[in-house]
Amino acid sequence: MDFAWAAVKFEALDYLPVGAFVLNPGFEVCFWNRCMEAWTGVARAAIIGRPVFEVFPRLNQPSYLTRLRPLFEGGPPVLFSSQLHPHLIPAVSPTGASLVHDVSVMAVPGCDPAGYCALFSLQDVTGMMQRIQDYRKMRDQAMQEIVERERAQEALRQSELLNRAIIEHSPVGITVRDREGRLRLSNPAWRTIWGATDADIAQMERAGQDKSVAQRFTYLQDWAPQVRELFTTGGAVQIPELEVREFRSEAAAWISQHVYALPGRDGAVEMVVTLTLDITERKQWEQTLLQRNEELARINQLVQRLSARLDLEEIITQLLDTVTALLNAEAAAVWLTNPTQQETLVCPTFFQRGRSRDCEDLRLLPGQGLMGWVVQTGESLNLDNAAADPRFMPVIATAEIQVTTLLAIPLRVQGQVIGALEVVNKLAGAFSEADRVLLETLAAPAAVAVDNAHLVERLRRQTTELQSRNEELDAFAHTVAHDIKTPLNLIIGYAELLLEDGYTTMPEAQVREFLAAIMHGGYKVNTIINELMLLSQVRLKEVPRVALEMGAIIAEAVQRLQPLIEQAGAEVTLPAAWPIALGHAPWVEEAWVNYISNALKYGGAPPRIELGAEVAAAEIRFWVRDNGQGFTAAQQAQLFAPFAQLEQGRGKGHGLGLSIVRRIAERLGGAVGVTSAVGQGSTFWFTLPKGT
Amino acid sequence: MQVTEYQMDALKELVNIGVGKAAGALNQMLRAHVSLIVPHLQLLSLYELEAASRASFGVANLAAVSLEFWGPFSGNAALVFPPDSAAKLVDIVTGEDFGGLDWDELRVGALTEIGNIVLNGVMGSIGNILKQHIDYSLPRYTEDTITRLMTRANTSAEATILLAQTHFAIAEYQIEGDIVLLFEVGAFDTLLTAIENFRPGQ
Repeated sequence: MDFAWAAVKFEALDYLPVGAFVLNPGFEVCFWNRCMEAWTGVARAAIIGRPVFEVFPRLNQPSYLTRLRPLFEGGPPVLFSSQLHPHLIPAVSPTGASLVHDVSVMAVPGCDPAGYCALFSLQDVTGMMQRIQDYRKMRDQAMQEIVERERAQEALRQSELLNRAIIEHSPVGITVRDREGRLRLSNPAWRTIWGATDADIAQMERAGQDKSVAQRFTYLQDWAPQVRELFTTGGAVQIPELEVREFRSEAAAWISQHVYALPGRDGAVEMVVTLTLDITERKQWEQTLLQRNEELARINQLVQRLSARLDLEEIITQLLDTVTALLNAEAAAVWLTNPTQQETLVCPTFFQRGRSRDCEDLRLLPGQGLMGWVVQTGESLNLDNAAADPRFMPVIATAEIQVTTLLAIPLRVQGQVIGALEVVNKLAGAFSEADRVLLETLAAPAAVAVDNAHLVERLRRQTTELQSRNEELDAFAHTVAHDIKTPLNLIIGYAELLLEDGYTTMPEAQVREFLAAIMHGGYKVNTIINELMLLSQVRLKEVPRVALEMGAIIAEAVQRLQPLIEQAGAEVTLPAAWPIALGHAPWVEEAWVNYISNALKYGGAPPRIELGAEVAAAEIRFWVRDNGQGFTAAQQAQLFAPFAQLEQGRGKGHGLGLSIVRRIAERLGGAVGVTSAVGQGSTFWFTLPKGT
Repeated sequence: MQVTEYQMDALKELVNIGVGKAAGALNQMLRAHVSLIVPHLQLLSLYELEAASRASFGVANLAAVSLEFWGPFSGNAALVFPPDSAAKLVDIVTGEDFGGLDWDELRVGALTEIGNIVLNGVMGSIGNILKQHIDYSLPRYTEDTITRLMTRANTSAEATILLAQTHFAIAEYQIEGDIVLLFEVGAFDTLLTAIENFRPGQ
C-alpha cells in the first residue's frame, strides 16, 4: 500500500520535538516522524506499511485495542499516562537513558481511504519527571527543614523557658548590665540578697547617664577598680568574700561575687553578668566554728590539767575556773555525793568572779534544793529565774550571789551520778542549749577526775591504814612475845631450880612457893592468850547493838577486879544512875575492866578511881578518872597507839588493854581518848551511840 | 428545559451504554470485573448544581477529569472523583507495583486514565447517535471546587447540566463507591433531537 499521502499530510510533524506516528484502522504504520526514528532507532523505511505490532508487540493487548478502536470512528482522544504505561513504545535518549512518555492518541479525519486514522503523539516527560522528582525532593527537604526549624525553634523556646526558670529560681543572685552599667536583668535571688525594691531597680535601670561607674561600685571597696575596668576591657573578676550593707535595711551581710563581661559581635564588652552569692550564713558558721575551736582548745586544756592532778580541790578549782570563763557566768559550784554518807551532797568549794572560795563543806540532804533534784533525777536544769523555782534553796550565801539564770547538770562516772555541776548568772542573757552541751562536755572529764581523786584519796587512806596495821602487827608480835616470854622465863626458872636442887631435898614450903610461882606464870600466859582471843573476836565478829544496862555491866566488872581493888586498897566511886547507850554488853564490860584495871595499876597510891558518864547530842561519853601521875601530851598521843607499852617505871601490864578498848569502841560506833596532865591524874574515856 | 420522560429514559440508556463500554475497557486494564451503573440522571441549572454539590461535598477541592468538545453541539464533560472513591480507584489501578514512583504523579496519571476511559465511553455512545463529527480537546486533570470544574469561560448561567451519579463496584477487591458524571451542554436541544431519532436496539 502506498502511504505517500501520509508523508505529505503529516510532513509538518517531522519538525516537532515530539514523537509522532499515525496508524490506519488496520494498525499499519502510515507515518513515522524523525523524532520517533531517533527515540526508537526504528527507521521510517523499516516500519511504514507494517502493522505496528510487528515492531511493538506490547501494543497488541485487548486493554489497548479496546480503547484505541473507537478512534478510527472519530472517538475522543485516548491518553496513556507515563506513570501507568512507562514503556508503551520503548525509547531511549541519545545518551542511552530510557525515556518516559505521556502518550496521547487522537482521531484524525480525512485520511486515505476517507476515514479516521489514529495520531499517536509521545511527549518526552523524562526530564519533567526528573524535575518533578527533584522538586519533590526539594519540597520534602524544605518541608523537613521547616519541621526541623520548628523543632529547633521549639527547642530554643523551651531552652529559653528553662533558662528563665533557672534564672528566676536560682539561689544565686544574677544581674546583667549593659556596658554603661544600666541594669538589664535581675532575678529574685539578687533582689532578696540586697533587699532591693522595684523602685531601686527602676533607678538602676536608668543609671549610667547620671551616675558614674565609680560611684555605683563603692560597695566593692578594694575590688571596685578591677570591676570598673572589666566594663571596658572585658574579662572576669572573682571576689571571694566581701562585707556589705543591704540597700534598705543597712544590715550587715557577706557576699561572694563573680563578675564577667560578655563580648558582643564587635568584640567590645556588650554585657556584664554578676553572680552574687549570699554567704552571710556561711560567715556566721565560720565564726561559730572559730568559737567552737576556742572552746575545744579550752576543754582540751582543762582535760590535760585535770588528768595531771589528783587533788580533789585543785581539780574542782580548775573545772570551775574554766566553766565560768567559757560560759561567761558569774559563779559556779560543784556538789558531790558524800562518800561516807551516800545520799548527802557536799559542796567543797565554789567559784565566783574568777576566784575560788571555800564554803566549808555546805551540805544538802537527798533531793534537797535544785542540786539535790539534779542528782536524784539525773536530769539537767536550765532556768531563767532559778530563785523563783519552788525547788530552790539558798545554800550558798545569798547576800553575795543573787541567783537568776542557772544551768546545772549531773556529773556521771560510768552511768553513776556522783554529783552535780551548777553555773549561775550568765553575764549576758540566758544559758543556751549550746551552753548546756558545752558544760556537759566539760563535766565528763571533770567527773572522771573527781572520781579518780576520790579513788586516790581512798587508796591513800587505805595505804595509811595498812601501814598502821603493819606497824601494829609488828608491835603486837613484839609485845606478845615479850609479855609471854617474862612469865615463861619465870616458869622455866622455877622448874629448873626444882630439878637442879632436887625438890625431894627442898623444904616443902620452898617447893610450894616455887610451884605457886610456876602456876602464877601459867595464869599470866593464859590471861594474855584470852586477851588475844578477845582481840581477834572484836576484830572479826559482827555483834548486834542493843540498849545496855550499864549499872549491871559495871557491877560485874568491879566484881571481877575485886581481888585487885582490895590488894591495892583502892577506892572506887560510881554514879547513882547510868544513861542508856547502845552496844554489846560483854565487850563493854571488857572495856570497863581494862580502864579500871589500868587505873588500879597506874593510879595513885592508894588509887582513887571515879567512874562517870556525860550525855552529848548523839553519843554518850563514859570515863574513868584516876589520881595517877598523869601523862605528857606526847605520851597521850602514844597511849592508844597499838600495843605501845609505856615506860613508866612501874612497868606493869602488857599493853594490850588500851588497844582492846579502842577496838571495841570503834566497832560499836564510838571512839576513845584520854585527858591528862602531868601530876593531875588522867581521865580515860570511850563513847557509844545514845540509846533511845 | 422541558424533557419528556421518554427523552429522559433514552438519555439514561445512552449514558448507561457508554458507561458499560467504559467498564469493559477498565476490566481489561485492571484485569478485574468492574461494574459501572448509572441509577439515575438529573438535569440541573448551574445554580442547582452548586447547591446540590455543596450539600454533597462541601467546599472541598475535588479531583476531576474534563473533556471539552465542539461540533454540532459543544460542551464540557467531566468525571468527578469524591476523595474516598479517588483513593480506592487509584489503589486498584496502581495495584502493588507502583514501586518508587511518586505517589501524587501516579494518582494523577491513574485518575486521568480512568476519567479518559469513562468519558470516552459515554462520549462515544453520544457521538454514535449524532453520527456527526465532533472535535475533542485532550482530557485535562484538575483539582478544584465542583462549580469551577463545570464552568468554562463561556458558560452561560442558563446552561443545562446533566448529572449522572455513577456507582462502581469491583467484586474481587470488595470495593465500591460513587463517581459523578457531568455534562454541561451548550445546545442541549440538538442532543434531545438526536435522542428522539435514536431507538435503542435499532
